[in-house]
Amino acid sequence: MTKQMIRDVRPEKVIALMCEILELTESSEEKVIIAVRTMGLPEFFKNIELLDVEDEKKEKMRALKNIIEEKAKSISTQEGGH
Amino acid sequence: MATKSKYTDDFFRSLNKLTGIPMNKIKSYAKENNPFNILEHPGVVDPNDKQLEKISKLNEFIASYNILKMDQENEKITFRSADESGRYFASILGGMKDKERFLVAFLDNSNSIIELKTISEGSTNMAVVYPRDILKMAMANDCTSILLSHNHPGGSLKASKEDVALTQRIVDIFKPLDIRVLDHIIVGGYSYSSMAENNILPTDKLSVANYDPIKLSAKEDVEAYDLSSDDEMEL
Repeated sequence: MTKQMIRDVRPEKVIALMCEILELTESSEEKVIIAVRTMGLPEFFKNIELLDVEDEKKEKMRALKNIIEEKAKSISTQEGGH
Repeated sequence: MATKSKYTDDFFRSLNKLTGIPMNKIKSYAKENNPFNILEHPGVVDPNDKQLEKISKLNEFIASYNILKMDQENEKITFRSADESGRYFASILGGMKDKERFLVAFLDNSNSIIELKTISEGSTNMAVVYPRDILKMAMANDCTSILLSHNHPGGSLKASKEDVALTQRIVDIFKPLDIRVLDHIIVGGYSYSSMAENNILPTDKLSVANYDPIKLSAKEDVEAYDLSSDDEMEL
């Protein structure tokens, strides 16, 4: 089951999904896709401030980062943390 | 069971920004419940169709991201060639036309990134680089080498005399510390050039370390560095 899930998660699909969530403009989307392909998603989220995209889009990226970080924290708490 | 919310306003704003669900609904629900229930059971905040679609996409992304992250998180970004460095910096600085930005990647002994920092950002005409700041960051990262990169807003890929002189100033500071300056990548448009590949990267210390700020002006096209030039660099 897990292996099947991992096989189905293609980076390109995840990037496309992220672009939809962020409602990027064409030029921002191009920059984001290049950056994510080069550095991977975890590094991309660490380097949001370096991207040359509109401030409003950066805010959405920060929001997405915030949610995935809080989600990760909530999972580790359920798994036995505090 | 009522739970005291440990989530901040910042988190609620993030949910609001990405789903469109009003803040008052999110906050009101989160007073007594885990706000992540909103993603797992959207009905609790009575979303409209558009909000529901956004929540669905957000859920799908979070699940996919967590799986992908396991694959990508432990992958270090390592530079094995000027081409890899060039593509990396072009992915960040590419297409930047309204400002000039100077980045430094601090690397470990396997040429993997420890940290990437913006050292300077200025208008299309001027950015100022503070060598002291680069030194502080290098020490904090305990790096063994560094990669420099900046963009030319005008799109030229040629390193100017000033670019080479700036690189020399950085080499003068780091050479005595056994920290190598591996390359200086110039990004113009979505392309890049490598000083190392073009054999114009200073590698030896020429002068006493000088920590005065360095002005990076955009004379990229008029003062392109000529490989055949015998001109001495003014430091």
